[in-house]
Amino acid sequence: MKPQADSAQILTPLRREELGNTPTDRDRVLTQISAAKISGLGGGRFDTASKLRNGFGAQALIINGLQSEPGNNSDMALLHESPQEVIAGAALAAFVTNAPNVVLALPDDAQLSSDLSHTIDSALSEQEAWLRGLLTSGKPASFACRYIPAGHASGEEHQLATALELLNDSAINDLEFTRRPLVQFGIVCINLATAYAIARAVYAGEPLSRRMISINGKTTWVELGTPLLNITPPNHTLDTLWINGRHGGNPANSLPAAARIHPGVFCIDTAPAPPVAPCINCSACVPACPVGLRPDELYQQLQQNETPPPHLRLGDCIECGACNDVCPSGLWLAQLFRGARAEQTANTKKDQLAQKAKARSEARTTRLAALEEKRAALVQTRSTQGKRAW
Amino acid sequence: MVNPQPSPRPKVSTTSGTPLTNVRDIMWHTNAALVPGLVVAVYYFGLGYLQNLTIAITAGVLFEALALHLRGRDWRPQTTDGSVVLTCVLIALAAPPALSPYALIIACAFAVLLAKHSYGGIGRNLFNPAMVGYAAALICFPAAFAAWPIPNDGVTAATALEAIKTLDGTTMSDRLLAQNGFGTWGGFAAEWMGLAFAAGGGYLMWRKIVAWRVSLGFLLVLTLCAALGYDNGSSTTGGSPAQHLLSGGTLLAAFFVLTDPVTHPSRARAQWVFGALVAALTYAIRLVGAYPDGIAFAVLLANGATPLLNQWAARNTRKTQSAKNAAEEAQ
Repeated sequence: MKPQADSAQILTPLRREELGNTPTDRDRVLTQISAAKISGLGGGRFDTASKLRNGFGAQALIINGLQSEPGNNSDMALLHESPQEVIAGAALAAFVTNAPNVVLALPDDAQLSSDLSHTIDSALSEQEAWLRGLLTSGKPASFACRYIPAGHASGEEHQLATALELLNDSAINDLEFTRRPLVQFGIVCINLATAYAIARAVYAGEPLSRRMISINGKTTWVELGTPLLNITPPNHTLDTLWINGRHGGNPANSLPAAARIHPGVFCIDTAPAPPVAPCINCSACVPACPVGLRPDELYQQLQQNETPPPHLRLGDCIECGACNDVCPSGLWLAQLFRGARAEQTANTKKDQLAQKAKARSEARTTRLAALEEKRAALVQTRSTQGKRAW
Repeated sequence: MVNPQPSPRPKVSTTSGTPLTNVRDIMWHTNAALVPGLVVAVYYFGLGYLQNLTIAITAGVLFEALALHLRGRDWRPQTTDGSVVLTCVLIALAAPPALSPYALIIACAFAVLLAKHSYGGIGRNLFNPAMVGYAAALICFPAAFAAWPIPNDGVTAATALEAIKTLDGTTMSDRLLAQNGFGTWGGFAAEWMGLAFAAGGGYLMWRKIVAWRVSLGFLLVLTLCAALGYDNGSSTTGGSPAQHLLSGGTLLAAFFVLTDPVTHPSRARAQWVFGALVAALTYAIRLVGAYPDGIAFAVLLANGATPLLNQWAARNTRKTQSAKNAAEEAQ
């Protein structure tokens, strides 16, 4: 074979007309997505192909175009630039998950020009017609654009599904709703930029090699792997940068991998000011929390290096950063909770492993004791038999 | 390429004034809310208050800078964030205008050095610094604190709250009749000061700076206690609700002292109890205690109970929650 510089990276594009309503064709699309190395572009970086594979048979598919982080407008810029591809990607995701309801969720403050909304509408109805011809689930496919009030954590998938009223009873009654993946409740949620990447991968054979990023409010295409400091204004260092939004994001210097652009980076900002004072116990964070936690008490517990008691429900925190935004002392609460949650998860895992090891060791002790008993009994029998024999 | 504007910073929905998201703003707004009361005080009692204010703020700021320096912190941001000024303004407003500067400086030293910085500075203090300073100076100089001038006269006289305790022979209604109307029942001019403080407190509530449950719980229970103890002004009366509400530092304390977020509980249920506790203690000290006005001591005692109240409220919420969950499971 003739060696070509780019040949390994270019995939063979599929044509929409080739796709029929068969598992084989679904698998072809998923293989293409997997080969394009697409991972969630909304910050999660979860492998998109496995997400869609697990989501097969879901009731609803959400294309998440909400940007609840202030200063992030990458998704809207992408939608302005290529609405056709975004919606084609959404249709492909609906095709592989076989979801009858597809919702393109956009923030209500998105100022779409009439041309753009016209393009979106026609693309939606065109793709809806295609889906309707394919989907097997009996229900007619619906493909709609919905506008959601933009605000804190509105882009977090559990909050979004709640706002879209897509939840079934099992989800509404589930006390651990926010702790469980949305797919367990029959909803798949992918980012708008992921939908775009899917369309590019399937119809143009383009692997995921660049993404739209907003840098201090300005959007631009950036190749993955670009060092962070190459694309930010020259007076910045990693210490003065903040990744993925002031609310839910992280300081750029917290992770070594964050020094380069990876698929999970959607927004780069100047770091917020460090805390101005300790907690003054004003409780402003309590009404601000969208999942009804007590960030002030959690903060106090964590400050004293104590494990927060279960009734404070640290596990339910969605790390949206609403508490950061209202805190008069400027504390980085969400980031603190993220660290504590990661530690808690690690500890649980460690505990589980220890439990397993303990059970294994106990089983071994019992097994050995039984063997020993058997052996002793055998020796006893033999020796008595021997005596008799003698 | 179309480059839409980034979505604006999401707003926290409010029905009243926008809440402040900065410790500095909160402190300076609280200071500003004290200005009407201060103007009334100066109008009735002359420039003594202004003098006290200047001395207290100067001393307080110096102590704060010193304490921060000794603790190895940068003194600039915290000295100017308004918290120490608020503490000193409260001390100056609570103390009589003719108080000697030494007593005032000692009060500020207790407040800033002992109550605030030895506990770890802003946000960490268990007791309200202004009240610690006031109470310490009150214990050191009881006579100086009892001497309140009659407005525009310069002669000191017993306040109405002392009258509740020392009334002999004459009945309270006799005394009230001898004076002419609003502006005289509570202590001299204390009504007008109280109302001005209440106006400032209203502003703080509108801006959602103070926890209204604390103030309301305090005022309601104090009214209730006074109403139960009042017998239409005999010589052994406990004083009418109006007297209790408008005299001494009741309204100043209700909106500016009790509502220090650091030292009151953060759970709603506990805030009601906290206010009620201060009210009950205040009433008891006013009636049978050794000092004419007991709000400072009542606040300090309740401050000590704050962690306990918080835990109680948390446990209570937990119980309600688990009961609710159990009921849901049963269904």
